[in-house]
Amino acid sequence: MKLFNLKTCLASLLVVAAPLVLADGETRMGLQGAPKSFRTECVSCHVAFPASLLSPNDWKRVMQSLDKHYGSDASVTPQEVQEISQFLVANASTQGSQHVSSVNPPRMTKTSWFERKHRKVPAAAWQDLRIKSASNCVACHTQAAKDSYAERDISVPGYPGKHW
Amino acid sequence: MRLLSTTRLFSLGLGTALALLSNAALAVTPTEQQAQWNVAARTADPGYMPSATRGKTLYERAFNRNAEMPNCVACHTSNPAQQGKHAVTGKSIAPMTPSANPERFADAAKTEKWFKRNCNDVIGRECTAAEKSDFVEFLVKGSK
Repeated sequence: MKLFNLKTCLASLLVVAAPLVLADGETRMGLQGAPKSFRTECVSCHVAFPASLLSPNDWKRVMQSLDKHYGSDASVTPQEVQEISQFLVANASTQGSQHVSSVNPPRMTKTSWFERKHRKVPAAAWQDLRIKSASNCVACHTQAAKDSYAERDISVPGYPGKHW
Repeated sequence: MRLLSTTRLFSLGLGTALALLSNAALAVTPTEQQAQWNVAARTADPGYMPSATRGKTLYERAFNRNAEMPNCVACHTSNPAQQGKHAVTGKSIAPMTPSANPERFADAAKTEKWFKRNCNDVIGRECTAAEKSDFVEFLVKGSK
């Protein structure tokens, strides 16, 4: 029996490495497999808000009032409502109440998870015109357009070089 | 009846042709869309002719129905040939002018969808066929 077995070695590496890769759960965020309509309709006006950052009921509320969508008419066809809702609800968070919006209409920026994750952001930063709104993820999460929120890619306007 | 009878081949051919044609019909040009709006506009006003000046006025007019989107310019900027920016979310918006962005007014369903949403947001009602034609006239011809 060989002491060094290449297959076992590679398998072990995978087992060790997998958690390190997958633990970067700041990527994807429940956006994999989104229907095309999600991208063409929702992402035409704002960043692809991660489905896993709201509860299923929150998403249902959003999808049931698209004609009055945070001050805008965002109506889509009934078929699109159906397929986008299905995707969002399937990828929504059901872990306790940390992703349940405390306001209605629902806002992922008003969940205990979001507030905890952003507690280190100085109050002044939210007023910065380059950021404008807490829902403008891409202002600081430089790879948000690729559904990625990895810590290494965060750069807050006005705080160059600071690690978050 | 033979499996590959003339009738069946003909039906198959016709079906394919119709399918191809119906897909092709979805891709249009700004001028083709304007032609349809002009016809609709003339049912109310037989003498209607598209006007780039009226289109520009509509584009710039402050309807002030919505604090963040008082007019079209708020998102599409004073020069529709350049990149715009969503007034609320900050998301960048591709240019509107067809010569700057060939994807604009190239899909009838997409055009109507966005007119419906944005006219509702800014003006509070759907844009009329005349308004749509005037606006595209402005985009294509510029303001003179």
